[in-house]
Amino acid sequence: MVQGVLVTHGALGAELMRATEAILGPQTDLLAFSNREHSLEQLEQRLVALLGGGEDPLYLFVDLIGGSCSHACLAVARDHPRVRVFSGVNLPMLLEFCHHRGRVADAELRERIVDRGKSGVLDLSAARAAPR
Amino acid sequence: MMEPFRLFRIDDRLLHGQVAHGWGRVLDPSAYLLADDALAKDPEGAWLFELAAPPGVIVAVMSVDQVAAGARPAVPERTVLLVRSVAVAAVLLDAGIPGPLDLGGVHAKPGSREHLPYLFLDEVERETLRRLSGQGHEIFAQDLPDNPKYTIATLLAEAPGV
Repeated sequence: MVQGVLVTHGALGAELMRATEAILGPQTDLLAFSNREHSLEQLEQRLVALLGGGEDPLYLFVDLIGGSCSHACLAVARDHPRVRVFSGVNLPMLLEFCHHRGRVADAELRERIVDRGKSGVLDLSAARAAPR
Repeated sequence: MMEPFRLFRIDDRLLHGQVAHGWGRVLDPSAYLLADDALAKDPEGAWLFELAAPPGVIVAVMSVDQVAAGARPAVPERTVLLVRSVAVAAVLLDAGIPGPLDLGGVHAKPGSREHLPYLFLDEVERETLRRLSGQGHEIFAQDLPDNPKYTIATLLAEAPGV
């Protein structure tokens, strides 16, 4: 299975993962790392260890551009071209990832993750007239 | 005999994440049909559920009578039928709407007992389900497609004092 890792501040990733599993059922190869228990070096080492020897891309989801989690992920991505990093992680993009991983090619999956993440952000109180 | 639905589900949250994503992924529905009298009179409220479906999937809200009489969404081929309560499901099954019936989410209320974390039934509901099951309707409980499926016989047998 194509692997995804939430790399976030505090318990955000673990809880997003719980919410994803409440909606879709148990997921394999979805992990949550926090910056709370790890130094940046440890985070990077854990991410690199996940890469293994395969060919599949590794999808990393971070909460905040420029935060420590994003620093660690981008450092790993610089050395490993198989690593994809997405910022602003939210539930819609995670659901999209879990729906489509293994079913569509890497390029399409990357596009879907970003599109769904963005389309999940609306001012709903003003959205009634907007086209869906 | 009317065409069976992709899924005929009791869920007091009607169309929400588990249904639109969890089941939607597996069933690929063309439409969700919500049989609900209150919502049929409340377009404002129905709009919430239109938002819940992925783009391109129809959300049709109709009264229970309309659905019982055979009304269907514009693209009826792969429809998921959702109702809020055991009572409404019973009206539809009694009217000849085909099962099987999924008990997908009935949450706690006064007088109800927990059968599963997402299934709380009171005695009236148990009696209704027992009757429907006795009449040959297939009834099961399952919140998500990859989670365990329980037959109504198992569920009612497990409840003490029933």
